[in-house]
Amino acid sequence: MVCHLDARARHLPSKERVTQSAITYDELADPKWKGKICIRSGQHIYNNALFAAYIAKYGEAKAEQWLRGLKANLAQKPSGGDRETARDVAAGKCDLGIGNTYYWALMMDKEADRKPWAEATKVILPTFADGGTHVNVSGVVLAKHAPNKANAMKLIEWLVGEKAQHMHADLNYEYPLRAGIAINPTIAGYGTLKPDPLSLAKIADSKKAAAALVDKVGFDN
Amino acid sequence: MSLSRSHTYGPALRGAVASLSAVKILAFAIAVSVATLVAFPLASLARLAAIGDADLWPHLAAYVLPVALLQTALLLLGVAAITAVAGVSTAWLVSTFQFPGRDTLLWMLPLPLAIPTYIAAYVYVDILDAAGPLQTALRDLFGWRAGGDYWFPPIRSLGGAVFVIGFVLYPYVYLAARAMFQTQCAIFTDAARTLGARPWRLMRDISLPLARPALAVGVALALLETLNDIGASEYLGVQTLTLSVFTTWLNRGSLAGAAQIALSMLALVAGLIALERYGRRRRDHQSGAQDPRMAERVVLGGGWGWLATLTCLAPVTLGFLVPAGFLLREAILRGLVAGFDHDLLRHTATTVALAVCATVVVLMLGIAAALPLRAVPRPFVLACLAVATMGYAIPGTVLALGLLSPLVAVDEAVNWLSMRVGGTHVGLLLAGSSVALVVAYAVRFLSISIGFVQAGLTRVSTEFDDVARLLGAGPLTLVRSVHLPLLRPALWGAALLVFVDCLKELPMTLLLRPLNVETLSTYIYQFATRGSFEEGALAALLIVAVGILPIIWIVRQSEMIPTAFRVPSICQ
Repeated sequence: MVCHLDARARHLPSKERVTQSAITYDELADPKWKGKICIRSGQHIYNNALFAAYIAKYGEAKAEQWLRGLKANLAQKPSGGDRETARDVAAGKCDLGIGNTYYWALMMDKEADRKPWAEATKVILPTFADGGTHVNVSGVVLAKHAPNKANAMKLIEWLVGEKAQHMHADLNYEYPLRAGIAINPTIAGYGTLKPDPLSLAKIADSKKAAAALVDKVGFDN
Repeated sequence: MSLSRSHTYGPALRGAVASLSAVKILAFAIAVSVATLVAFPLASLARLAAIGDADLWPHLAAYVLPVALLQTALLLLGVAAITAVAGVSTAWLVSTFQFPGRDTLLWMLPLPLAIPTYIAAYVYVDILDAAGPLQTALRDLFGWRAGGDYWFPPIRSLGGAVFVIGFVLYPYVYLAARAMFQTQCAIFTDAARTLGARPWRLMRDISLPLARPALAVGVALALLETLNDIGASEYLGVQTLTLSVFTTWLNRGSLAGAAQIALSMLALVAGLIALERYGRRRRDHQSGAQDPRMAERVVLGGGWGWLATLTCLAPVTLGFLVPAGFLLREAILRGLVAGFDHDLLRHTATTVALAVCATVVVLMLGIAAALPLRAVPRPFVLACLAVATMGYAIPGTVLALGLLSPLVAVDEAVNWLSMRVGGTHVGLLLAGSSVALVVAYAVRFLSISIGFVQAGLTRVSTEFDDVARLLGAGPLTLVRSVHLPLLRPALWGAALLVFVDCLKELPMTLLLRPLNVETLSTYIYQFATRGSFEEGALAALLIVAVGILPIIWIVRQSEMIPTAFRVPSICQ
């Protein structure tokens, strides 16, 4: 059994140099962004899931074309983590950075010395052509033959309960799963999240293909 | 010179030889069991590679391996260059000259050993990256803009990885070279000096050729550590073979492919171990007698003296002072010291306890594995020893994976037995407890202790063995009263490296630790994955602090080894 606990979207542009307030994933491969995008390794699980979702929606051929376009737009070889991506945007190395939203919120609210970097950037929730945003999720799994199922269920119930979901929202700056739990004000400011309805199982099916595509286009090289 | 290098014992030794046959059997048994310990995870890895399909090979060969091979080769070359130059030059300077600060630098030079490579990588990215204080200051000063107006060496790059890893790992070369220079007797340098050779010529023609074996050993160790690294190279964007093993397993979804890459990496590692052995063999020629008279240090005054100080201070600053200073600053600024997380004490205790257990086990196994070769120098024992040192070759992630099924198999056997005998189910005794970690550390770091013991033994003349036997000592007395005391410096050296390596170890600990057990490195890791590595600054400082103590202590020990324990040297 798998259940989702929370979600986070990916995208961070420079406040100063990027004026648009909406963007599609396809636009990231538009040559107008040539040399302007920063991202971490294409093999990292966050990007692997995003690329897998793209494959699941549009097929491998179109995904390859898109990934080659995105690669051509990169300001530098992929490296570091999402936080380094945000810092590169703030420092002016690139105009768009692709990263998870909570890193930005953490810099904004929790790290006084990093706040200027968060303030130099803004968050746009990118969308697929049909309007949904790809989200990473945290989940919990119960093994079929687990000996203490009842206790495990109690833990899972607690995790999706009000208290734990508030903790996810306010301590981790993630979008809570449970309806009725208020989104943290900092991330509520990004706009309304409309998660892409594509099922996780479909994304998981394309994981290997996404990893192979990253190798094929030399995304990390 | 040597009495009996060929092991053809004289008549007086015949009695002792009789008692040797029992020792031989014991020696064989020990050699086989130590080799088995390492062979199990290797075999389990080979099984993974064999039962999986080879479908992914064409893909790996076309897109992954060429890049990974090239980047790994360049990384190794770069790290070899930095560690060799920094390690040998500093060791030569402190051994040959007296200059301002030399006595302090003597114990500061090995300190970078206490800094894990991934921590150094995080620190240097914070300082040198586009948003870091240095580049920000440059932009403010000259009115530049990032991304075009100016060029700054990128830290997140292959070059950056060479820089970070090289300056953290040079102590491996420094320690080996220092020990070598320290035991080089004065006779050669004195002779050369009376013939009018200047210090530079002494270094080129006498010291360096004599230090070449130490150089080979130190560089080989540093490169094996580099191959194991995954955190620093991933973060800095270097596509190494080790990283490819990891991504092939987790992203390309092929455990078999990962095991196949890992097995082919063993070839590379075998090359490095051969390099290390080559170093040892050269040193072997040089053992044989007593009375090493140390060369007097030349006093360097004025500008040259300060130049020597700066040369030694540079690697210490880059490899230790900057990272440790940065961690200290972050720990204070973030209130980590004031708001001390008391769990950290528990994690520190866990880390130290695991490292101590593993070090003791590794030393005992190392002695047990290396000594039989001296008693029974047969190819079979040599082969067992070669297998026993292969653990260091396997990246930690892969080794952990290879260890799981043997550990679980043992657990199942124990459970089957206990059900039969007492009707109780004892659970996962090994795989589910810290024993798994100690076994993993032992398998991985065994080659360090074997290497040190072997190196130490080659420098203990067989004259000692022969004399002891003539005086009627049995094999155990020989080991206890002759070998172990003479091996003391080598054993301390091995203990230091193993202990500090265990403190820093991350990938195996992450995979094999029991539930609710954190070590300092896994504690830092959870912050690093959330992108707030600085929150783990205090834990990183604790690793450094715990690591520094044995390093300083060992330096004091080795600088004050009584003449009796000095390794017989090349004079006469």
